[in-house]
Amino acid sequence: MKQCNKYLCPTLTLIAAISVFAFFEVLFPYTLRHKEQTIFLLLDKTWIDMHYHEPGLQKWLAVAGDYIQQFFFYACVGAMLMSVLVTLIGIVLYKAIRQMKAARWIAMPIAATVMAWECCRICGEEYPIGSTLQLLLWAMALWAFVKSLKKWKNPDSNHDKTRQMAESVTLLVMMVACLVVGGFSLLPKAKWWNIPRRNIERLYAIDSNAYYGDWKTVESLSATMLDYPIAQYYHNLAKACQGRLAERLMEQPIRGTSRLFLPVDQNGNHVQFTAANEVWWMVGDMTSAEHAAILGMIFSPRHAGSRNIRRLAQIAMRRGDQEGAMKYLRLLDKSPVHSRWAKKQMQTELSPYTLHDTLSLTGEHSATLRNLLDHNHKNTVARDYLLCYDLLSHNLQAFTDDALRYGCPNGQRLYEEAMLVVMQINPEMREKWQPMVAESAYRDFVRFNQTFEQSKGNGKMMYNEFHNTYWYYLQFHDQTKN
Amino acid sequence: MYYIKQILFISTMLIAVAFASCTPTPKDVVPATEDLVIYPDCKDVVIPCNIAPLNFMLRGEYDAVNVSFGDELQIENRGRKVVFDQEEWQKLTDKTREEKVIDVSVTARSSKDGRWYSFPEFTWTISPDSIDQYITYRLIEPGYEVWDKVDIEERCIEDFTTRILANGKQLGNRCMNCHTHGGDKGQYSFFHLRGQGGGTILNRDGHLRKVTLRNKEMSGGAVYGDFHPSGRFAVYSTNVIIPSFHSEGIRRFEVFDTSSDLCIADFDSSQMCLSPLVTNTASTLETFPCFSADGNWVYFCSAPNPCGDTIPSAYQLKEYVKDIRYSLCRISFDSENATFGNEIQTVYDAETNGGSANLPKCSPDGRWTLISLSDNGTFPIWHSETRLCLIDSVGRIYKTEQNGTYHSWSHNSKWVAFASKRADGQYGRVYFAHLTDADGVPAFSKPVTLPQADPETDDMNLRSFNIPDLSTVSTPFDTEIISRLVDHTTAEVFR
Repeated sequence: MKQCNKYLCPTLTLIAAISVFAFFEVLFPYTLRHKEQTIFLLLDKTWIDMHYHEPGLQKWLAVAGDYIQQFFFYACVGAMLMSVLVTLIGIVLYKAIRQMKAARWIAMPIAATVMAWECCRICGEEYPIGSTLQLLLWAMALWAFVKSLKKWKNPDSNHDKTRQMAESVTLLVMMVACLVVGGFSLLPKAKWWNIPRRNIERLYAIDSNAYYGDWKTVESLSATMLDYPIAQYYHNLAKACQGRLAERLMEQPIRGTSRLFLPVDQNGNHVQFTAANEVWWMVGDMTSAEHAAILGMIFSPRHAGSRNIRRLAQIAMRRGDQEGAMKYLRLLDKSPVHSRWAKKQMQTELSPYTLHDTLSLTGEHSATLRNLLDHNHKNTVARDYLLCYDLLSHNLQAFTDDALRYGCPNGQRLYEEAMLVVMQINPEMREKWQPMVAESAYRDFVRFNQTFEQSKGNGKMMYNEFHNTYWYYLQFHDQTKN
Repeated sequence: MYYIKQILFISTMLIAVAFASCTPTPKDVVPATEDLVIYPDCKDVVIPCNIAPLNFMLRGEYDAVNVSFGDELQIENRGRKVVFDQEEWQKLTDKTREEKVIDVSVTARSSKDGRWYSFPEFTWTISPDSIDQYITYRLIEPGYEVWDKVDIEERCIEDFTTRILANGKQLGNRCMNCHTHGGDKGQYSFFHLRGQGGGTILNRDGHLRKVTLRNKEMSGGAVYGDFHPSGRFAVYSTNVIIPSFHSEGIRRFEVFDTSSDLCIADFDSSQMCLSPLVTNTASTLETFPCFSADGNWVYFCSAPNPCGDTIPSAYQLKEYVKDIRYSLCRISFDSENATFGNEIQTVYDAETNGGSANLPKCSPDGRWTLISLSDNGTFPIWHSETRLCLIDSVGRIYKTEQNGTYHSWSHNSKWVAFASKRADGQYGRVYFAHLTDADGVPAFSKPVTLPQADPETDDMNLRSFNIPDLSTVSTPFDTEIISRLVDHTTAEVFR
């Protein structure tokens, strides 16, 4: 029995640590990766003064938390660090409760509950790891207080009283220090509780894989989450990068052009802005990509996220803007996590491309895409986005002009459906487009028109059979709801 | 024995620390084969005698630096940074009655091979012309039309003290337009606070008011402005501003007006003064007004509306932006009767002289009008080709090679502060340049950046300095006062 007790605590501690590790690495790995992408810390007084404004010593707690958080960049490291921290909290709390003469079977569940609670909090959006350190300090303060009280009330007669008094005072000082550093209020952005959501984790997974260009993974992950605007946006981008943007576009639940290009305005948040730059980066419009990336950086918790800073460096390099790139690369070079990448980029020779300069207003995506295509007709991503944007905007004339100017790929049902409508309105187009349209599309179009007449334009009656067609979208989609 | 060991251990640690903190001195110095690159680039510059220490750092891989300033001062540091002690700096620069030239000699140890390299000397010319002690600017992230962290700050140029005059977060994240001084000492100032409960915050000799500078006849509220020397009036433009984006990389952002006009606010009678020559004129676009030093003229920029007499939409006008060129004009102003004159004179004709004139500012001594000259348009800060251009009192034009805009004169007309994105193309910084006019031909010195306590501050700063404005007196309010004024005061509406 004694032998069993001797190994019980270490075994349970190990199980707890492995459980926490598994919780993060298996269930929520991208949550930790997303956290790393939204912060950027330099251990420099000037940088810290600029970006950390917590009161008193909580500032340094936040810095310490972000210092740990930056290592979430590496696979498994985030889960390991969280496992260590959360397990430490559990151990300290367990010891504190046991000092209060509570039985093991009371102390363990309480410690485990707190550990689970903290794991849930860590999964919260923008939850700072400094808050986990704060909880650890509070646990240590509790332990120090209880132990000090115990020594004070029940001094050990076998030991020197002065020494015991000194130990008691030391513990009290430690308690005060923990409370002073930890503070009595939550760090900004920290919440008392959080329910981790697997769907949010999945969205982070989609977002992270998109950033690293793993479009097949993005497509498969997002396929089951098309009810989420960001997921649908990334799903479209993944298909576009594989030349299939038009494929099944009409089957997506959220309609309109806003799922091709995420809006970049005062109503957005940093996650949306950060995602918004990806399509422009792939399409090749560096001005729009930079705009979105800067906003993603501005609105991130500390006004500086590593992912956006890296992207801004990449954008400047693609533009051939040496000094602009160095602005960001110098920052990244000072980071332990990103310095290797930064040094490599600094040695890269720039080969910029230049476009004919045009002006476009906010949201004027068509003009931007046309300019890109005028520079490079082989930019199929831009072409598909332009054609689909025209169609989703109900602008058949623009679609016709753009398809004639930049080409329209064969075998894409969405385009065939649009061509049929254009040919109906403008018979002159038949000669050019008739061969490009499949027989099945013709038949379905005839049937659509017949059904439309029979039902006297009743969209509800036609929904089941035709809601996945462009004809239905053109006829019944309310454009004001874009 | 135990205590002897403890003492030995502590002593060893102290010796190690002392040894580590000793600054290495140059030995076996060889001339450098590559150029010395420093930031800020303060080689061969002219600096005012009352400026804060010109701290700088070396670009490149160096781990120790030794800098001598003539025979007067030597600095030895580990690392790449050269940071002055404030007292030592003041000994170097203070109370200079005559121009003083200091030879600066830099020797640095390479962290790659451990060798010491000496670089060619450069000079600092310390001018006896002082610069105004204070400068205000807006610090804003370059998000174009979207913002999150915006502050208006005041910085003492003689040291590194900074105060926040208006904190965006405290003021409900409203848009704040840039703080502008007026008067011979800078004792007047205003800035606009947009959004619900906002208005123009007016400061005259410490008395604050929140006002709405718009009446029924005006198409919009006040935007760019300047004080009359008396402080009783200020001239403003009203602009419908459209943001747009360049596809060509470096320029990024363009702003143009679909309509713009002028008006004058009379702060004593709380009235707006208009003129059919410059207000509600659909066929011309008037903007960037300023008063002459004597207050008898309003200088402004004017361009013909490419769409004739109709106010164009943004979509229409954007096709013409590359061809819109603003001329510099002026119209007289009668301060006794608060009326505009009857005739507009052209001072700088864009058609004949080329370029587009923006942001005129008249020197306090009345000798010069300084404009920013860009290829086209009305938003020179993003145009890398923008150059400062001086026009004297008889209309002679002197174009310079200085890229700069949003300029501000010092009270003695010897220094100009301006903003420029020359360092990295994205983030605006504040620069100072000294004006001399040997033989009547004006010339600016090589500009020097606003010094920082840590020379790496600009590298780390992810916000732009907007519209720097000089003043000899400190602005008599801070963010708390502004916050109370905004929350508890209703704006006075001008008639």
